[in-house]
Amino acid sequence: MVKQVRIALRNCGRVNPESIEDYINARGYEALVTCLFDKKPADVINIITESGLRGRGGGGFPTGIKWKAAAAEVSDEKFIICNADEGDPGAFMDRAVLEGDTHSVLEAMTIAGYSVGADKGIIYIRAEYPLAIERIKKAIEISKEYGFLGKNILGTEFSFDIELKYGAGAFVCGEETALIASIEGKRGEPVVKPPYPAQKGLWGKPTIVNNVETFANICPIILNGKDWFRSIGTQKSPGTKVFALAGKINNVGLIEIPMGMTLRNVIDNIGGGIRDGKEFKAVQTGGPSGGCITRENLDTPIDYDNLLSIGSMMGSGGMIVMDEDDCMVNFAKFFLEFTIDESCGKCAPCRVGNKRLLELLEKVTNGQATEEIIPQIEQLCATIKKASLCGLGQTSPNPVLSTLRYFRNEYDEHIKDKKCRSKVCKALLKYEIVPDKCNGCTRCARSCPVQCISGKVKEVHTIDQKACIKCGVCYTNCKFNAIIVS
Amino acid sequence: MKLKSKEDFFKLKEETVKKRAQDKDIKLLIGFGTCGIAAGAKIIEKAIEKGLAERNIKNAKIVRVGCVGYCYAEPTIEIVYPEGGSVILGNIKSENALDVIDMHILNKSFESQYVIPRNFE
Ligand SMILES: Cc1cc2nc3c(=O)[nH]c(=O)nc-3n(C[C@H](O)[C@H](O)[C@H](O)COP(=O)(O)O)c2cc1C
Ligand code: SF4
Ligand code: SF4
Ligand code: SF4
Repeated sequence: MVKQVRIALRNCGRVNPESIEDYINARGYEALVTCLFDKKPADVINIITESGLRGRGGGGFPTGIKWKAAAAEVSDEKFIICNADEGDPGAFMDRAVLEGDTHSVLEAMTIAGYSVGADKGIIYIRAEYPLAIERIKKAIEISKEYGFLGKNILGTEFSFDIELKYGAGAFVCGEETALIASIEGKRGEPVVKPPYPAQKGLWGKPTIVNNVETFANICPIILNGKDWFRSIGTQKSPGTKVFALAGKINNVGLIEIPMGMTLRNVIDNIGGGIRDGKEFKAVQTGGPSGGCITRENLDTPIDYDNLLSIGSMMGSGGMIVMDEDDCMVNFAKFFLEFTIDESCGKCAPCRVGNKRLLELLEKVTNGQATEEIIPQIEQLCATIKKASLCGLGQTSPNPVLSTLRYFRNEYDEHIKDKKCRSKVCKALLKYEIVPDKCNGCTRCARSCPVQCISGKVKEVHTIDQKACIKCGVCYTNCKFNAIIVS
Repeated sequence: MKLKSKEDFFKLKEETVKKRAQDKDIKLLIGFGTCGIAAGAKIIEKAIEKGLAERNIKNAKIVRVGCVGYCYAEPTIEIVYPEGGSVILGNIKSENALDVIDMHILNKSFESQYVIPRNFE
């Protein structure tokens, strides 16, 4: 059986995150000591670059190259930011790391500071993570007492401090330029890149923004070497990825898998299979920016490039499993609704375009669409992707495009046959009473909230289709299975 | 205690590792992430503490750890034996505490209805 490999989560569930002794016992702060005393900043950056570590916050940008760019800048001040905004619906990888192995993130940020010549670190964390915040505060305090943080760390010339900044939970504030704006006290709106934060970031100074999980990989790479890291995962995506496995799967939870594992393995072995023996339909990765992976790609090795090529993306680690009961059009609608709620409204393609796109999808799920709607949807998606300012808008049509690509038949059924095979889209459902099975017990008629069921006691009942609001109450109430949905 | 050099660090590290190696207690790792706490980790901890006292067990210690990832089976306890090996128990309720202690601490059993499969090393 193929198992998980734990690098980022190596200490989660093993150490008491509030005990620095536990952490030191688990090789904690050894990587920092090695860097400070035995390696030049450029050596550290080289190790990270050659390890092939790519950003775990979604984009997959090579971490070493980002550090090198910031190190090359000449500036009186530089910043290291840890992105702990984690806005992807259903994702909690970063929270688990911060709560379960707090010191490892502080240590990695300090190493980053040493490498690029920054003396200040900021953890940007959503205020909804009170336990993580409490543990980080405690960890910062105790690290200072030991001399792992603060002035002249371990007696060296190098000083580094870390402070916390709180996000209000807006998804777009996870985008690095919006995040920086938010720390500066401005509205959390993205700005056009370049310049990249590594050149001009917080307060116009060179700034590294890395994800929590990215940082969680740093110390093991320093301790075990780049070759060890490269021996795990695939050639272009070395290492592991943490996913929050959710949806219609038996073993819902946090998993860390070597890159290159197939989805089939994740679902059948690690996830324990689909719940209630139902049939697998698709998996969504990349949250509202991603797309779905279907049966035909069950054996595709999961890495950054493969996922992109099949129309999805790695994302930050949300992994939602869907079965036969999930309607793919409705699913695309769900993410679009999320995007619309979270759009900052700065640019029209995203603000207005996504609203129009949702209206088109609603037509499909309401049974009011005609065949011309598909090219309209496709065109609008293309415009939003091309014209939006930031990653949120540029990727927002992805769930629609990907469901269109793999589940065109479901769209067609909604549009042409006015049917939703998963019986999710209410407007397309039809509740009917099977005369042979109905014994006239009147239960349904008495429970119907709009009283659209008629019939005498002990006689066959009928539903007035025009008045029916498809609430399903009659269906659940009939004890004789006389009501069917189609 | 402020560490002022590489030597300071390695001295502390050595001491810590040695101290830990000498610690022969059975460890009960209870998942104390947001998820575990929401699932009742604090109540389980109390029940286990009470159970250990009731059975007069002195060589077992509770450790609050972060999320292990078994969300489907929270609250979870991993029992680690000093001589090696461990079991992961899931869906523990406070009324199971004595049961768990008898089976997995007194009898050091690797099997019971509470054991959930380990899916990583
Ligand atoms: C709309 C949007 C939301 C994002 N949210 C997050 C987030 O919650 N956490 C995160 O680490 N990166 C997020 N990112 C990516 C960041 O902009 C940035 O690329 C990342 O923090 C860089 O770190 P990495 O290279 O270590 O992945 C988001 C990007 C976009 C466009
Ligand atoms: S794409 Fe959307 S979220 Fe991004 S700047 Fe434009 S309106 Fe704001
Ligand atoms: S509840 Fe069922 S059996 Fe009773 S009247 Fe309604 S349809 Fe007929
Ligand atoms: S679905 Fe609701 S509204 Fe329609 S007939 Fe049944 S109970 Fe009445």
